[in-house]
Amino acid sequence: MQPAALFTQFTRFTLMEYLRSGRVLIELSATVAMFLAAIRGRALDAEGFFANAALFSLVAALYTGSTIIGLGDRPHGYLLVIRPLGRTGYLVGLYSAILIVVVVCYALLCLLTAIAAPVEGMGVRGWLAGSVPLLLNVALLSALLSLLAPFVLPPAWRLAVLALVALAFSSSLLGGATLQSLPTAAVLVLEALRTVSGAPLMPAFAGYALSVSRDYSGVAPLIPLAQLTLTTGMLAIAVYSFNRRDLAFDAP
Amino acid sequence: MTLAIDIDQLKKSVAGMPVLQEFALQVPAHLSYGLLGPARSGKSLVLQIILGLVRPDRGMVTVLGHRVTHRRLEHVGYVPPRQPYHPHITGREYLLELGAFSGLRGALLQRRVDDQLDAVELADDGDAPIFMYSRLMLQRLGLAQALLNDPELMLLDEPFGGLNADEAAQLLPTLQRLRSRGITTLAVTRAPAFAEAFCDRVGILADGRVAAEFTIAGLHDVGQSVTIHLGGLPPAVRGTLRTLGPAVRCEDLRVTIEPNTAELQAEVLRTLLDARVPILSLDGQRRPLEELYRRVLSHDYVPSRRSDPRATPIETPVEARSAAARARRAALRAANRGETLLRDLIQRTPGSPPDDPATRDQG
Repeated sequence: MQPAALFTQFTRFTLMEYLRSGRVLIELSATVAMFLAAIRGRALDAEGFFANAALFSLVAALYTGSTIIGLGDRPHGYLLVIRPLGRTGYLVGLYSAILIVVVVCYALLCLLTAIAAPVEGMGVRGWLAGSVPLLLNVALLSALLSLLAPFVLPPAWRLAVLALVALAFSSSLLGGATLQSLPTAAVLVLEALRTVSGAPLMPAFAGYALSVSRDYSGVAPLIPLAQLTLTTGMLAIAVYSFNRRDLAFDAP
Repeated sequence: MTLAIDIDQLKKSVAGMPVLQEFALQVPAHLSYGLLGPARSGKSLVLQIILGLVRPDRGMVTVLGHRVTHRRLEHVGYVPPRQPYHPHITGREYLLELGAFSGLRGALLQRRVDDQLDAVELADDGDAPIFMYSRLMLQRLGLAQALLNDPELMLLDEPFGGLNADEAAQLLPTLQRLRSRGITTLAVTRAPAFAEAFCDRVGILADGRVAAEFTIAGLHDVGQSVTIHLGGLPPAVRGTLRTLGPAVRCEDLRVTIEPNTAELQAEVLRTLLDARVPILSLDGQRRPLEELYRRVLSHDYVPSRRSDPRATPIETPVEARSAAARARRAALRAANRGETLLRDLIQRTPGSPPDDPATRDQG
């Protein structure tokens, strides 16, 4: 059996278990709640819709990703790893399951909006222009969650990656007066670190902006490519790390 | 002799702590081997290394003739310690999915799943969701999934873990059927009673290596000590018995042989019978594996081939195998002589003369 077929089957298996566990009701309820609270009756324009939908999708990816990664982080999951599915198929299967759940939720949100609160002036082309970078950001966040899975990176490395992400998002906390109150050397080091750590996240920030603006002029068409590249790179690191990781577990 | 598992010079540390050191293990094909050890001694780690889930720091692991790296193994079934598995699907669905992950399809997959559900006595419960399974049923399901790809080697991690005595007794025949199918098994367990009931050979894991190895047949051949209760013990007979060696202890109205061998036991009985000493009873104090296990863990056991035919020091596999076979044959021959003597003893009526030893030995 081909590896692609095996991981597709594993994705289906994971989704089946996820659906039967009932956890998906949380995402579905959240989607409906999001529509009712933030979209219906607000007469949003396309920018407003994508600003809300992009944030919702990222939060949904965070929740779904954590839950599905949790499903994968169980010793009986390793019974699959030792079969021809292998580690790569296992991790990519979990990742695909996260993506599918979030994409379905986003599709449901769009459907509800199209039926009950159509966004004025947004056709299929406009919807696609905003949806592509939005969904690529979901893919990027899912890849980051896969990388941060307990069975993928050792604890020290996970902390290091989380620290870098936190640093990249720290401009609001460590800006202005707070930053100026620190010694000059510390300010220089922090700014350098923030620049370095923020660089890999630039495609994500730019993708969010592109989703909201849907302005593909200039170099903007490169943004989805950068998102895709970063996602692939992150997933490749996750697969590489998972393939080298010891999967030891104790009897209960 | 073909080895199903050959591990040599294995070393593995976990979180900086050495767990396995100079670990060596040879499991011949078609044998049931039990690796016995306390919690956190590294038993499960050995299985995880064999499965490629964990990389050794050093050492060589060969399974079914192939070096184990990080790749998956075909023809190896693995029963993990008691697991909830995937609770929201049925046992049959679970097996169908796992069979498909192993490359089985269509009618063959259906037939294999039905066969394994039958083999582990889960046929009636196959369509129930796994969260409704009892501990025993979960263990049976674990066995069924491991048997799906028709393995040559089965690795069992605490197969009786979490089961009470009744459940364990129900599971044992299912496990024993694996032996009749000729499947090599390596079971790791904390339970000496299980190892004694299920395995052909047992290794005791202590200080990161197999500190002692026994054949179960050897354990059952000869008791470690025997006490003979007597109606009287004249000083002359007592003196004769003492000349047989330090293993024979005379106390009031009983004689204890420790360590016991079939030859020594026969000598003592002959002396008593020839002297017409009334023998009231003979207690074979067969020391169970549990006691040996305790002694090995407390470093109170030094294997000696001469004094203890059950102990087979770790040697090269072929030597160990043939040495164990020789020891077993010798012990059986000696035990047979002892049994004949006992039979004579039992049949002997008070006052009748003892049989001629020559004719007795032919019995």
